[in-house]
Amino acid sequence: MKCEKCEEKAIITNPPRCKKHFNEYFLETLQETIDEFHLFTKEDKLVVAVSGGKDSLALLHSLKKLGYDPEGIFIDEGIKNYREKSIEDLNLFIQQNSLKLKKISFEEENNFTLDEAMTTKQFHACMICGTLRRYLLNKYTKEFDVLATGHNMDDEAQTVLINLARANTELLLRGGPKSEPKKSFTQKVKPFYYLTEKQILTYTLINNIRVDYGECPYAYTSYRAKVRDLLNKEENEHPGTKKNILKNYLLLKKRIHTEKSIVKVQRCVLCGEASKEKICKACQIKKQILSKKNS
Amino acid sequence: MKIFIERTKEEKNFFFKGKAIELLNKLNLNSEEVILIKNNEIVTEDEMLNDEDDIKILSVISGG
Repeated sequence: MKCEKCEEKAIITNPPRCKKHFNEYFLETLQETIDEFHLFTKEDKLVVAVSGGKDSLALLHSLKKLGYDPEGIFIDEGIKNYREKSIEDLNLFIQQNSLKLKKISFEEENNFTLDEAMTTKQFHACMICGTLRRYLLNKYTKEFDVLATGHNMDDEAQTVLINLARANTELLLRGGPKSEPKKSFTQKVKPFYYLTEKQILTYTLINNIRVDYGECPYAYTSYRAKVRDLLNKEENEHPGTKKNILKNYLLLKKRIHTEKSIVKVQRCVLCGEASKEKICKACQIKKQILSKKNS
Repeated sequence: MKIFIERTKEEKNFFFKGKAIELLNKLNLNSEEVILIKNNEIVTEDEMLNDEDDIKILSVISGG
């Protein structure tokens, strides 16, 4: 297969591009997404949530290429035989690119690692990890205008389907490339909204960004993994499925008359962070896990 | 042909000559979920593979 822009051999089919022209496509798509959804400007103080995996390192790399000046924030959940490798890749990348990085760990913040939390059999791994990670990211990014995450087209199309299937109307309507601006929460954005996992890994390979290919040991237990397999099957048979889901989701969201959220944000009585309830979800989870762990 | 499947860290060795997509089908892999490296170069699914090629299959799935 030839590149659609020149006579060189293509290295990817979607879109059919050679190395040089795929790099161009990648950076153009990223810039278009940032502009279309007004995610941030070069004047904004920008931080990227990094794990050391392909999405976050590709995001830092490509944002730098486009002339942005991102810093990084890393949350170590404490997953043995998985996180160690990505921390190595992350440290190398940070060093090579002279970036600023803030490191936070579940162990220091919560007194338990995710592995330890799992032994208490209280919650699903993704529930603990997701809630506590979101909590810590918000807590430690207050001096920034925007927090960018490496969520890609695959993640987002899966999320739409999951929320539909589980009748999570509130969560479904809250999706998209940019979170609603709220006083007590750092503005969250997803610049890779229109780039797929395959395109992102291709970008890391052709730009010699070292990433670990490991999969989170808890991922296989999630409903998301099932939806991912289903979507990839569909995409293979009907190319464009993922993009269609997101495009149509955004159109529907625009058409639906949504009342402004009437949930009042208050301060958690235990930690003082923003919360919908008297005690925030993160503190509820921490309390339950620690009581089981220490019993 | 020597094939290394990164996700499962499996190494396979069998005779194969044909298109990359045929190899993926034979291995029951979805081309959406993998990147194929032939002799250290990324190739597309229509690439012709020979038995003496060195093949590495990377999984694009990560995280959780």
